[in-house]
Amino acid sequence: MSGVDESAEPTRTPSVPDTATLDRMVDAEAADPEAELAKTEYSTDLGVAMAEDAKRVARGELSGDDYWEKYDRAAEAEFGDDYRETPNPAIDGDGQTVSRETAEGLGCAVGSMDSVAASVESEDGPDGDEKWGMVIDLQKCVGCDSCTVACKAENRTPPGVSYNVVMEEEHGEFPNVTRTNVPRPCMQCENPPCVQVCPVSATYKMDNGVVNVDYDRCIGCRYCMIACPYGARYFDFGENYDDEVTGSGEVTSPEYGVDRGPREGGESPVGNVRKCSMCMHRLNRGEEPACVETCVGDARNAGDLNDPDSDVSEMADSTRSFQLKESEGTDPNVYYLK
Amino acid sequence: MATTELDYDSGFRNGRFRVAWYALLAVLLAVGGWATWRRISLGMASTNLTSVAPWGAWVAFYIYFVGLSAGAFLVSTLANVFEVEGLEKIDRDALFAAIVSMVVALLFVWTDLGRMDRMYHPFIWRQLTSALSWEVHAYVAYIGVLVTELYFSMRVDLARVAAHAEGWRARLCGLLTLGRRDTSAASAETDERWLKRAGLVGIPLAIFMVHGGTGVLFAVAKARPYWNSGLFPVIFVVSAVVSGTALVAALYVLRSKLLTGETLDRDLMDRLGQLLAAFVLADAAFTTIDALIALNSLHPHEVETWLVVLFGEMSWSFWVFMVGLGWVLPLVVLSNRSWRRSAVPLTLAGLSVVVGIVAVRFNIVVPPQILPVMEGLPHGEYFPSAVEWLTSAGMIAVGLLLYSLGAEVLPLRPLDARDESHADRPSAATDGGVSDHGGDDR
Amino acid sequence: MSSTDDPDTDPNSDPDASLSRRDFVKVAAGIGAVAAGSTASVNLDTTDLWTDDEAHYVGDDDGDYGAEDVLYTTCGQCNTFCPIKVRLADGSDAGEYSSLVRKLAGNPYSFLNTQPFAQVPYDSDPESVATGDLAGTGDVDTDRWSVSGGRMCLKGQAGIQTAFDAYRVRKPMKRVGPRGSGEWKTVSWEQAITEIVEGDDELGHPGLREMWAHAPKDEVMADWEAVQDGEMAKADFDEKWDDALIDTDHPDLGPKANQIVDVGGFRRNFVRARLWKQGLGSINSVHHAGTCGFSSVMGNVRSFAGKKKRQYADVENCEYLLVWGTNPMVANKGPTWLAPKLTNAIQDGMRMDVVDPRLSKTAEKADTWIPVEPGADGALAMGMARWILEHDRHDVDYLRNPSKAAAAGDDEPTWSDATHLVRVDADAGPKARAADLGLVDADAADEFVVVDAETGEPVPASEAEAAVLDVDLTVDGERVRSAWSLYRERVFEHTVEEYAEMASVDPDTVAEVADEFTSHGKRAAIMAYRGPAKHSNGFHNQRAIATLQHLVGNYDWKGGQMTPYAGYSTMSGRYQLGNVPDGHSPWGIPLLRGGVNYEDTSLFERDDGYPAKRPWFPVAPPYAAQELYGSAKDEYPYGVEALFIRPYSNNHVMSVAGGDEIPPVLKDTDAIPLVVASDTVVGETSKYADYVLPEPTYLERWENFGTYPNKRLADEKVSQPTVKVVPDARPFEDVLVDLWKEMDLPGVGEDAIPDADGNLWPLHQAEDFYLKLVANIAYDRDPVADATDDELETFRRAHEKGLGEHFDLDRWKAAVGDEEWRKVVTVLNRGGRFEEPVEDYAEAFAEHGVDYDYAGRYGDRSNAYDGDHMRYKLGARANFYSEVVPKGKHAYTGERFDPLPRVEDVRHYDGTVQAGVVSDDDPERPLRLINWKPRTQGMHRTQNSPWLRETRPENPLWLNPADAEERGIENGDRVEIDAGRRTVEGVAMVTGGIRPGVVGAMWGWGRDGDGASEETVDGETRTPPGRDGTTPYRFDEPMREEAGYAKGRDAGFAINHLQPLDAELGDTGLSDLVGGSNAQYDAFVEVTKRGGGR
Ligand SMILES: Nc1nc2c(c(=O)[nH]1)N[C@H]1C(S)=C(S)[C@@H](COP(=O)(O)OP(=O)(O)OC[C@H]3O[C@@H](n4cnc5c(=O)[nH]c(N)nc54)[C@H](O)[C@@H]3O)O[C@H]1N2
Ligand SMILES: Nc1nc2c(c(=O)[nH]1)N[C@H]1C(S)=C(S)[C@@H](COP(=O)(O)OP(=O)(O)OC[C@H]3O[C@@H](n4cnc5c(=O)[nH]c(N)nc54)[C@H](O)[C@@H]3O)O[C@H]1N2
Ligand code: SF4
Ligand code: SF4
Ligand code: SF4
Ligand code: SF4
Ligand code: SF4
Ligand SMILES: [Mo]
Repeated sequence: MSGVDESAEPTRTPSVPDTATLDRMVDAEAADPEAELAKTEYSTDLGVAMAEDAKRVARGELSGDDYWEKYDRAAEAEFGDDYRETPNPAIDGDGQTVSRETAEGLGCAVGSMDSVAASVESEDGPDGDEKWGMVIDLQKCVGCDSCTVACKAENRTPPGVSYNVVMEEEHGEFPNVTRTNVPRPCMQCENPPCVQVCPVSATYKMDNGVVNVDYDRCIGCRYCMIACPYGARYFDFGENYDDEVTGSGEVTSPEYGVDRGPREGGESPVGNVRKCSMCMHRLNRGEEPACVETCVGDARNAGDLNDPDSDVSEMADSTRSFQLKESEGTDPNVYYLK
Repeated sequence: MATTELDYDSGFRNGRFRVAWYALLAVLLAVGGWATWRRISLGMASTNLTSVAPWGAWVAFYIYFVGLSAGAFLVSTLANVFEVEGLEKIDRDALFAAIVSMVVALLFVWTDLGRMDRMYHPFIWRQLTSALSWEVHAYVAYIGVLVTELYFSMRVDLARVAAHAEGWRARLCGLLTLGRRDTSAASAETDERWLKRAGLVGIPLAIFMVHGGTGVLFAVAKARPYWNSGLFPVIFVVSAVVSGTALVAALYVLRSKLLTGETLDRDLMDRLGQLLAAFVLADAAFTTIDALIALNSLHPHEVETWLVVLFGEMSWSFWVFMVGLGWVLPLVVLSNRSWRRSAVPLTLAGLSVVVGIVAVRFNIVVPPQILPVMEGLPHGEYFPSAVEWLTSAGMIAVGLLLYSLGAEVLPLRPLDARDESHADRPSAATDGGVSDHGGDDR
Repeated sequence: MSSTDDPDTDPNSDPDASLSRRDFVKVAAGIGAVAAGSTASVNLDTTDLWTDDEAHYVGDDDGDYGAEDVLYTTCGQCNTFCPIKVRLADGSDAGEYSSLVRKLAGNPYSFLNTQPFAQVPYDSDPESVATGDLAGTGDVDTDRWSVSGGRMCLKGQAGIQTAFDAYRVRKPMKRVGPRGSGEWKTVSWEQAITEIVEGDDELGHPGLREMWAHAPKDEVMADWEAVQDGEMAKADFDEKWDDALIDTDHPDLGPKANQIVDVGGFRRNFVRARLWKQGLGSINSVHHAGTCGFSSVMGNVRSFAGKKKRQYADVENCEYLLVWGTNPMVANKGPTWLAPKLTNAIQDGMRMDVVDPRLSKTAEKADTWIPVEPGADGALAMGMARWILEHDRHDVDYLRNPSKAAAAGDDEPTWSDATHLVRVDADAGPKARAADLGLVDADAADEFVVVDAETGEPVPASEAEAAVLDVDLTVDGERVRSAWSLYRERVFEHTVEEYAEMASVDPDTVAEVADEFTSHGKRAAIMAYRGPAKHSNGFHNQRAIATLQHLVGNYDWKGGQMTPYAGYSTMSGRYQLGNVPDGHSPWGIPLLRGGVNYEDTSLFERDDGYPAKRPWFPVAPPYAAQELYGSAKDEYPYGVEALFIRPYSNNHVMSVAGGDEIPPVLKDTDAIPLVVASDTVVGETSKYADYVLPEPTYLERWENFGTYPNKRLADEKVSQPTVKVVPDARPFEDVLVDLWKEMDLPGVGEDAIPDADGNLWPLHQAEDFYLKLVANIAYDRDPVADATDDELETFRRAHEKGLGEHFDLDRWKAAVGDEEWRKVVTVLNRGGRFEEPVEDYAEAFAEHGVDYDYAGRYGDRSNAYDGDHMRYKLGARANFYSEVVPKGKHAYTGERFDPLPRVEDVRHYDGTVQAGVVSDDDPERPLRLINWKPRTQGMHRTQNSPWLRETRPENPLWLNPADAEERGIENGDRVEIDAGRRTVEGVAMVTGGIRPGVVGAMWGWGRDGDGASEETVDGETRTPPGRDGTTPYRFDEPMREEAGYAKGRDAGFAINHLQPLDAELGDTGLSDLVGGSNAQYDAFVEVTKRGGGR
């Protein structure tokens, strides 16, 4: 489990680094700094020195502030614009080792490291520190099911698998009748019961908030379907549209960035459980999820809930905002506006 | 017991019955094999499962056999841990039945996997919060405990058979002693000590991990309020004990009649009968309480699920099987002392419970999936497909086969106990057992 | 894969630079993680429990694509015809198809599919649009919408399954056995064409060559007059014209060419105007209007002196919108465009009320739902009018403007005929012209006359600043009354209460709606369409609704009623596509008897006057398609020799009320000797053809669908082939060109199309026409920019990818002038032309992005407005009184039609009441059956899509709980629906969302064509697909159809086969004789529960 290190006693207070862990992390994370650095046009020595001192920081032998003050100039000279444009990696999230004041005095940018890494990876895609979420405005949803079909077309799900459905509720008596249309993708729960129950952690929550299903790991036990309070999971029984639609199995979607090629008998995801992936592949290439793009009532919105200024964050914060089955404690990342 | 030449032969007493029995199993296995082939080639599409009701017969049978195993095991602990008098006779039977049940349970789990080819994944990847992840490991550990116990409980007899009998059976039993051929009282005592220790480990494992855990599997599913109750795992264990006791009681009579031909121990039968009745009562009481709590909660999902159970399309399984066979019939039979002490009624009561609890398991698994988790989603519907029934029959046949073979080959009946029964052998027939005359072609 | 990640093809990528930066960041990130990770590792946070360590099963293949994977065309899944983006799938050549389609979406260049946001600027580079790199398009993480692709409805999304339907017609097929046998053999294109032209002994049908003949009208009629005048012997006449005319006794029927009939929905410009009318000289090319919104269109046409066919509001600025019998969230033109506008406008404070007998998806969003009695809409409208007049809520200043000039003085772009005088005693009650009343000013002789408000004298309309509204006087011995006084009198025939009673609406509601409608000045408007109109009294219903808006004069006002038909020229400009050198002029009485007075024809005398054998539609164009088959059968006014069915919007067996009476006619080879259908699938109508020819679907062919009638800016959509799924499919234009060439008819082959300079261009295939049409579009107004070299390259690659070997670049290029090609490519690369919302839009977009307020409502800069008015205007007179209407007479009674709106019963041809509005005749069966467009289906084009059938697997019958309870019916029960002449089975949906006494269902179900029933081709039988999925369960209880499993293509019941047949005709449904519509909402049924529950 991430972050839960077997050797870390619960008594240990935060911010006191554990050397063993760190050494392992250095080995694991920056596989071979020298080799990595040698591939670049920059000074390997500097890089290695920085890496070594970084370990000292981790061991508590050097303060983060000192570390960055020590290397700031050298790094700036060496890496130039790249350094200036790149946020300091040590002021990232919880594990901050540099005070903001120091960070602001540095030659590098202040901000999230991940965002830069991600933006370098894919030019126009998202930053990498998102928590993807959705806000669906029920006042605007016209219950047309365009989202449902757009999702089928995008993700090429088989019969009986529909990552999104639109539920209809009717209230009142003639002529004072109202209907509410409630679209239901996967809620990408913050505390996803589906993930909690998966015996092989095939389904898990990614850093970007999306609950993933690893089709290569999933054993098809369907426990997650039982656990999902929103009925958002579907089993792939291996059914298809071949009878009616020429070439239907030829096109599949690169869900979670993996293209599995044509749908073939017995191959995953057949035998697996499937669900809305938040169209992560589309988000990564800078496109709204298919259901959001097409939403005929202009009711669906996707975006980064981590960014307080994003449109979805603002909507999710509004007084009209609520979540489905709030009492379940699942804390969905799909919000509704009433 | 001091005989030098051991007349060890635990096989069926009636040759024709034996043929018929194995023929029946062969048919079941063949049909099950065909169904399994359909299952594998068609995938899960061969079932009547849907995304609305994703768990069905296989899961029901799986928890059924886990329950049977845990129950049988707990009965065995009465003998070997709590040393309840007379029960030592059924100790190994219970253990062996527990093992076989577990094997069958795992077969069901396996068959139920959408990706059968990935059955080993749970041992590679885990999830701390997943009851199922824990369960899979608990099952393995539990089978380990059972085998260990059976070994210690049976080793001395195995060694005896190895020493005194001849042929493949002796060699097999010899192998199974794992080299410890000492039959001395000291060694028997060591075994007994270890047996007790294993039993002590096994009890919590069986109650909390294996069976309670299986209950937890359901109980944590918050999405299904019907399951999501604290009482649920308890009921699970209770009904497991019910089914285990019933199985052991029935097995005791059947084995005496069909295999050993020994005189039935009427006191033991009485005791088993009383135990069974008590457990059935407890089960019924807990279930009623659970139902009342549920209905009282006015939680629409729970209430409606109960309404589905009580009056829905499948309510016959509740009334006829669960209440009728599982509770009423055995209670009626067992309430009568003389019936408790007679072979046929006791067996009937036992088997009736064994079958009734199947319905209990179905009623646990299926109804909560009928009602949608959210208003606006479709209602589920489920009845097992032919493939599901037939694969199930096949897997149950595998269990019966394993048990029959074990019963025929292994000294499941303590050899000491057996001696004293020899004298009564002819009387078996008058008890309604199968006569040992004729057809005994071993 | 796209060019973005291929450095060889992306000139902007600098691999070295990005590599080193990437590496640096990676290493730096590693170091940072080390330093930071130390604390994170013990920072036990519960979410970590379910966050897996390494992200397993996550790749970096996001399916990137670029402009060469995209083609823009038009959706054809319903008659909205949205501009769309077709994303081609990466190389898969497993089938006969040239390319698979990865995904469809709206076209981001088009404002029609980007509401409420702004489209991308027209000049934007297709590559940057495809990759989302265009400055101004939103970011997926921060903005709620990014204009990567536009909106599209669910039917549109499912278009892939229309093109790739496994049941498509793949080769030309000739029937085996009798018509409708369901048995076919494939034939070559050559054979099919030869047999159609020359006839065929095997099937025993004549050929076109034999049946076709034409003669010029003036020559024939000159001779006919000579005969009348005794100057020519009848026998000579007969002899001279026998070969050319249908009937020499009735030369007014026209030439024999008229007996060759085309019935087809679209490609009107090409097939109807060019090939049929001018090429063949046949007057009978029929389109679908009579089955569609015809009476609504005619109700509007007769209410205005300018071109106005439909009622639409300027939603963005409207304060009160009354949606009347239409369902813009689902249907109309169309949800992709209207729904996002409406939901946003409502959220921004617009009030919307909906008049509909059932709670439609639009009514769900309404402030007030007004469940009117079906067909009683006229009464509701008149009730509102009465309340408005009684409360003086009409705009008197507007109404008193007698002319354009006077209106202009009030800043009113339109005016009305309220003050115009009508010669009430003259035959057909025409409006008085100045000359009629002796106002002898020569210039103004033709002008309408009004009573000047200042002088009180009758004057030509242009001479009064303001005129008197209520006029009843005698001038020159002739009684004249103002249109207003006539209208007012009509309105006052009943009280508000009486009208309310007829409409079954609470009088208070009538008052409330009328009050609200007149409380927002010009910012209130009505949107109406099929609901009130598709009854045999539909024309008058619509007239009553239209005139309500005359009372407030909201036309052309911002926030009011809009009338823009803004587009770019298609048929002229660079090429005169509508001109056929030496073409024929069609003439004669149209088969469907529209636009002709019965009493003026030679048949009147022959048939002893009234009643005419079948209805005539003297004041509507000949589009009453419902009359086609009965007319052919009765040979009234003449027989049909050949019928060509292009069933886009013409699957009449399903779409005409009483369409179940059509097959017997089609099966009868005597009634129609030759039937040829061009179809994508074997449909319910085309299955009775002698030949079914494989037609490409909308994703595979050219087309130019008309623009939406409800937008504020100009656009012109172009459909182009994007993929080829059935290699042998040929667009029907191509086939007709071949046929016409074979017969030496004008307008095809060499020298067929004149350009602006008079040079002649050849016409051999569809693209010869359509590429020129694109050139016309490209050059209209300010010509579009030339495509750059990059764009030309994108164009080539995308088309090669999509069409493979079926794309011939040189041939396409040769269809237009060299200098035009680049502009043609510019338009094709964007799927048409779309006007931009403001000037200098590219900069504005880069700055403001897709922001709604900026794009949609930007004050004076908006191209949509001209001050407080719409930029594209009606600018014409609104008519309370139509002097055209009374020129027509009812063909049964000979009574003149009513020039004013009126409340009327729903009647059969012979006057029998089907449904009482004014009268209260009790119908035989208690429940009124209405119907509507399915949310999930586009007419009969889309049932081949399992995606759509999953979403709604059948058409349940809506029943009010009161009606259901009375009959012991529960939601989901199977029921029997007895319509008297026929009983069908359905499933009940019990809902408070329909008025008691009314039941209803989605139309378009209960099919037996399009793969829904068995067909045998060359001895091989193709059975229909079943329900999808292997589960034996049916989860689709009405309102909970979320299990995602489709039923068969034949699911549900066919509404039109329950419609009443006309009492007099007995072979088709009821018609509105004034508006021309086929009545589709007037059946009465009884519903009973079927045994055995669901
Ligand atoms: N989803 C979808 N969209 C479509 C189409 C489709 O097939 N499917 N077809 C396209 C075509 S061809 C057209 S013409 C347009 C039509 O577009 P609309 O006119 O919007 O569609 P309809 O559903 O025919 O009818 C509108 C409404 O009239 C109501 N109605 C029925 N009877 C009455 C009545 O007596 N009075 C009143 N006031 N209302 C009544 C119905 O309940 C329905 O809600 O839609 C286009 N868009
Ligand atoms: N009761 C009732 N009746 C109605 C209506 C209603 O609401 N209620 N709606 C009316 C209205 S508004 C309309 S417009 C009509 C619609 O009338 P329909 O005739 O139903 O319209 P379509 O679905 O366009 O046309 C039908 C056929 O065209 C064929 N087709 C599909 N795609 C193509 C193609 O690309 N090329 C060619 N050549 N053929 C193709 C298929 O065979 C399809 O079955 O129905 C009218 N009838
Ligand atoms: S909605 Fe269901 S599937 Fe989605 S994250 Fe939550 S529990 Fe998991
Ligand atoms: S079905 Fe797959 S994802 Fe779901 S719980 Fe089982 S292994 Fe995990
Ligand atoms: S986000 Fe993507 S996968 Fe999820 S419902 Fe929308 S379209 Fe489907
Ligand atoms: S597409 Fe939008 S408006 Fe339509 S049902 Fe889905 S969420 Fe609602
Ligand atoms: S409304 Fe839908 S089906 Fe109709 S044209 Fe537009 S996208 Fe296509
Ligand atoms: Mo239409």
